[in-house]
Amino acid sequence: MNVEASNALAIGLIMGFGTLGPAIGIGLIGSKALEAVGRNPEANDKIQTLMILAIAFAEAIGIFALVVALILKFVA
Amino acid sequence: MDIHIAIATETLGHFLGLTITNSFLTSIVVITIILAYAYFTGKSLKIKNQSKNQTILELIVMWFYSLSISILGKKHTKNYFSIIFSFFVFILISNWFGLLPFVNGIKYTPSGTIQEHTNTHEKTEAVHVFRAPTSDLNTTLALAIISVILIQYAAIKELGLAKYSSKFFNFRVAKKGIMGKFEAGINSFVGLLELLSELTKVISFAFRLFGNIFAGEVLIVVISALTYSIGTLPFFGLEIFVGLIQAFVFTMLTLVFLSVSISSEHSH
Repeated sequence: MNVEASNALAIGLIMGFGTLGPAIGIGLIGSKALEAVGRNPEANDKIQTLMILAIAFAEAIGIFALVVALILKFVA
Repeated sequence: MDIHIAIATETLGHFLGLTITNSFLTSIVVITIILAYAYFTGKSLKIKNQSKNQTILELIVMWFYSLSISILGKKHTKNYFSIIFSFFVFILISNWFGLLPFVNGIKYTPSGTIQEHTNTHEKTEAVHVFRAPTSDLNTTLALAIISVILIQYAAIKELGLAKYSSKFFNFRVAKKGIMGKFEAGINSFVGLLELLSELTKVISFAFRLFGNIFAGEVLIVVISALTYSIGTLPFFGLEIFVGLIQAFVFTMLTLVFLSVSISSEHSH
């Protein structure tokens, strides 16, 4: 298998598997946040802020996978 | 479909021994815009009969100020609010600058000019003059390092060097016997892990911001090559949203890490 083919395969696999975890994580965070707002609608602002913060943490991991894929594609 | 995407920023020229890249030039433009806006708004501040400009600005600043007070407390907010809000404004305007219409249009051919060496097949192409500063890993790395050094500085100033380094390097044996030694071993390991997590904060900050903004640029370039200009409209909307969220997240994370590091030692 030549280098370019395995390069392309690696890029596809990285993005496929790398975004799986963060997607599930963000879904879990969102669902827990909605549940918390449902139990206590007055704390809406605080919960929303904390949820955005936690989602940013989880999304950063997906962005790491994206950066590796971009490096593989555009830097040889 | 001839797409030209480069992760590394392109050099525009050299000035006094410094390499001027296109993202560096754009960051100078962004800072000039922010300073000019601040100067002209500051000259006409009023208490009654405020301009709309001032009202909106006060809304944003007061929202951030109350957020900082709720996380940091009043005393520390007075010290650190200005740098934290500066992070927000700089990152926001830098992110949005890459979406302006002329950014992809203005090109410049460096003094190498377009040549084709038939022996080596080398060609110097035209490069973009402007590029969003935060789509360059150098800028985001610099911002991340400043943020983490700010956190360390604030903690050392608040807690004192001895007490702060005892968060990381605590080898004291608290309890007697074998359990005490075991616990001290675990505590020292956790302390070293905390030190490592300070370094990963730098990488996490830098790559989160860089990845989001650079991927947005790549997305827009690819979609522009695929469809008409009306089809890129939702993606520009996405990028505006993502730029705002990333600036907000950078600021919030700095605030939260700052509050965690300033807080006194408590047993986990």
